[in-house]
Amino acid sequence: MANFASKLLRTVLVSDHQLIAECLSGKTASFGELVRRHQDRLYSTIFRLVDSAEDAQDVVQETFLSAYQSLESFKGESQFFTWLYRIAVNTAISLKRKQRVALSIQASQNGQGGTEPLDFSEGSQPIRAAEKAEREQRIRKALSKLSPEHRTVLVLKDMEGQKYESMAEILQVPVGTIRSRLHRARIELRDLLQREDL
Amino acid sequence: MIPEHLTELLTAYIDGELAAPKRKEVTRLLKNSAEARRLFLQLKEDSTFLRKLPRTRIDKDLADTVLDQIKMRGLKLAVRQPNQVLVGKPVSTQRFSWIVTVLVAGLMLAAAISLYYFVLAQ
Repeated sequence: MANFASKLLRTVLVSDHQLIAECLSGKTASFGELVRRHQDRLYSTIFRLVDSAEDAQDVVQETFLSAYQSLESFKGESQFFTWLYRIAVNTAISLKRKQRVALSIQASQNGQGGTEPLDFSEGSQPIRAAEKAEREQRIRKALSKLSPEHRTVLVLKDMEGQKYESMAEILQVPVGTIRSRLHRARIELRDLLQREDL
Repeated sequence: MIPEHLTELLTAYIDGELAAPKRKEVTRLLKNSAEARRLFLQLKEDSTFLRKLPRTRIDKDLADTVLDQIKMRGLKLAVRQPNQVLVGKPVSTQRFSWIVTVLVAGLMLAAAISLYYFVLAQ
């Protein structure tokens, strides 16, 4: 009980900076605490970028391993989670780019468009729940067709609630680029959804 | 057809990232243009749907896997010495700040004591 209480207190009272300092002093177990603290939120974002539980897990794992190796370079000028986000988003974007290239090569070899079929198995769902599921499916499908850069800004803005400035820091681009990228992403998403309706 | 600079304003308005003068410009645009209103509502609805997409939680604890991988891959990081600090200030600057704080506190105490005896003497 005392052990549990002290662990809980440590989770609440010990900051990320302190855990990082402990890691850098040789206490590797403190990095495990950092992983536990941030894995859920990181996974949730990355899953929305890569659409696959397995890929998301791989990206998050690689993110933490990259973060461990470059921990010394984290100067504390931004929040630790922002720094982690940056590594994770870049890893996810690289993965999506490779997958898009592989898919288009495969599609051109097979003579196919490479899109996934929709699944509308309603079963015994009430009509409203089925409509909601259909809308979710449509928006996920449209999101998956966006370029990694456009998808990323929409995920960070709408799903993660990030401000332009924070997004600019994560993606290492100017605020103006975020604004115009989001604009193009929203218009493109709208066009994709309209095409689905036709 | 709405000019691009105006659709950019609409999307920034949806993002909640416009200053007051620009927000007024958007309000005027929406008041005067049915096409702009239609587009705004569609984009706003898309944004709302995205926000409402359910979050996915990870179904395992990666901490042990990550620590195992660190061991297996033999990953190392530069180990910092105990008296080094994580952010910015070197140790000598931290010590200097403490000395200044103590001096200022001492001066204030001396001033308070002097004032007390001055008032008492009165």
